[in-house]
Formats: sequence, structure tokens, C-alpha cells
Amino acid sequence: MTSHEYTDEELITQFQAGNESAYLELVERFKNRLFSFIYRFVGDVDLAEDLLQDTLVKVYTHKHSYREIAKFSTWIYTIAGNLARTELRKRRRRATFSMSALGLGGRELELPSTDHTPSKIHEGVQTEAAIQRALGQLPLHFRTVVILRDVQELSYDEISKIMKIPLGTVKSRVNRARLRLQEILSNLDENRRNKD
Amino acid sequence: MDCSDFRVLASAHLDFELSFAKQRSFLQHLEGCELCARLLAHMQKIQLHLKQGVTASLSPDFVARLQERLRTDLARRPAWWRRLVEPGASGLSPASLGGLAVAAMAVLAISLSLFRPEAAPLVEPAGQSLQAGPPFKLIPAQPGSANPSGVADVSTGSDSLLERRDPARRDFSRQMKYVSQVGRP
Ligand SMILES: [Zn+2]
Repeated sequence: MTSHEYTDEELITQFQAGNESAYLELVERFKNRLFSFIYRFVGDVDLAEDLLQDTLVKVYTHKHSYREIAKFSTWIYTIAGNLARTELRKRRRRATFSMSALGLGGRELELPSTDHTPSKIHEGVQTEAAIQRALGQLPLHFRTVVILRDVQELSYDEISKIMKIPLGTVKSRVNRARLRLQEILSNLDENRRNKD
Repeated sequence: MDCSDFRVLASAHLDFELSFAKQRSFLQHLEGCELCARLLAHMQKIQLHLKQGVTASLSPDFVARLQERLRTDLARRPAWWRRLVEPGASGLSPASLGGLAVAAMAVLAISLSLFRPEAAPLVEPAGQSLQAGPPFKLIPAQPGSANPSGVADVSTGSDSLLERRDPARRDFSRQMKYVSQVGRP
């Protein structure tokens, strides 16, 4: 039986029993998809790599925290998502802190208010950079669901387990996140047209 | 169906999750409303872009750096900690850790009953009690009641590469006493 024939859950069980090759196989299986997940989340390649390293170190050092009743992917996405969110929140707090230290007020940066009726819909060229910028403007709880659903293509059920929220909440949140993303991209496109 | 109903159902349509009846009225609205048709087309386009993945990729030496980091990180930890997490016959599972905790409490209770506080230290130096205990065998992890979801939050702690690279970041995060929770925006 080659390592490719083992499920992720079998591999983590083998790693828990002392097989380091099983850990390396899991790293190979998950490194690229976790990297794109984290990169979409934080929008910075170096930071995404560092957070991916932290995630994989956690898997190594906390391997006994995993229980077979959950999917391995749910567990590892939870770790990566938590680390990414923690890092982004720390950055936001530091930004808020330094702004208040400069006398610029402690208010968090907010999106400009947008028109919620579908009167402005522009379908300009959606470059990767524009998409990434728009994702960065989504609130974290919207960003998380839309990345898990549309980038990682996870099931609603798995997203519900990762985020520890009910299935119905996941579905409505995904819908609102997709609409908001569309709105942000429309506005970005409109701003670009106005400049041209 | 009006435009706001359409917006509520847009995502379910993209995920092929609408019932037959809802799908029919959704499509009826789509045919007669140019704005909603453009909205949906734009959403589909964005979704396609997201699915295509990112062009950025991991450094070629990523895995080598990870292995090096694990080696140096583990070497820095005390021997008793390495025995807990390192694979091999001497590794300890949570089950044996439970037994260890009971044994340690028993030793402490006996010490308390035998000695007056001023006569002897109550707590042994770190690491000694482990060596004094019985030999431990690696036991495969069992589903336990401590974490029924099976999804442990292990995302806080001292393993962060970012914090180790930047002491100011560590100090700042300590001040903030910040604990993250997925799903709690
Ligand atoms: Zn409409």
C-alpha cells in the first residue's frame, strides 16, 4: 500500500503512533491548498508562508489534540484559519494603536458606505490583484467563508464545523459575502473608470 | 419574486441548492430583470476567478525550512517535553499523560501528609517526577470527551514564527492577552 492510498485520517493516526513519514505526506498533501487559503486570507506571500509554517509546526507539536471523530482537513483548516485571523487582528490592533498614538483617533478603518441596491454593477476586468484587494476589504467573518467555499471548495457542512456555526448561518453568510464581494469589485471598477 | 428575493437566493442558485419551484421563479425573474442578470453574471465571474487559484506559490525550499525549524525547535525544548511529542517508543499519549497527572497528584498528597511545609520542598524540580514514574508506553489516541468536536484550538501558544522573529510583536500580543476563536467575528 503506497502512502497515496491512505486517507488523511489514517496518516495522522500513523503519525500519532510515531511514523514521521506520515507527517511529511500530510505536509505534501496540504501545503499548496493551505498556502492559497492563507494567502487569500492575508494577501501577502511572505506572511502566508510564515503562517503556513506555524500551522504545520502546530500539527507536529499538537498531533495528539486531533481526534479521529473529525476530518483531518477540518482540523488543519481550523488551525490555519485561527492563526491567520489572530495575525490579522493583531495587525489591525497595532494599526489602530499607532493611529491613536498619532492622535488620529482609534476608529477602525471602515468601508465607504455602498449602495445596497443592484443599481451599480460593473463587470470590468477582474484581475487577481483586484480580487485580492476586494477580499482584503471584506470583514473577516465574510472573508473566511467565501475563501473556504469558493477558493477551497469545501462543503457547507465542513465550513460549519471549521467555523463552529450552524449550517444555515454558513449559507446565509456565504451569500452575503459573495454579494458584498461583488459590490466591492463593482465600486473598484467604477473608481477605475472614473479615473480613466 | 422581486430583486431583493433574488439577491437572497443568488448564492443558493450558484451552488445548485434551490428547489425546483424556487429555481423556476428565480429564472423567471432573471429573464425579465437586466440588473439582476448582470449581478448574477458578475458573481459567477468572481467565483470562477476565485476557483482558479492563486498565481503566487510556495518557495521551493519550504519543506526543507519546515524540517529544519522542527529540528531546532524540538532541540530547544526540555527533554521531558520532547518525550511527550516526539514519535517513537518513548512518546507519551494523552491517555498516559492522564495517568501521569494522577500519579503526580498522589505523590504530592503523600508528600503533604508526610512532611510539614517548612521541612521539605513540596514541589520537585521540573522533570524529576517524570523520571521517577513507571515506564510509559505509547498508546494510540482515543476519542475523548475533553473535545467532542475533535477540532482542538491549538492556534495560540509560543510556536509562532512571526512572534519569535519580532519580540515587539510578542510583547504587544501579551499586552493584548488576545485569544482567537474561529467563527466569532
Ligand atoms: Zn431584479
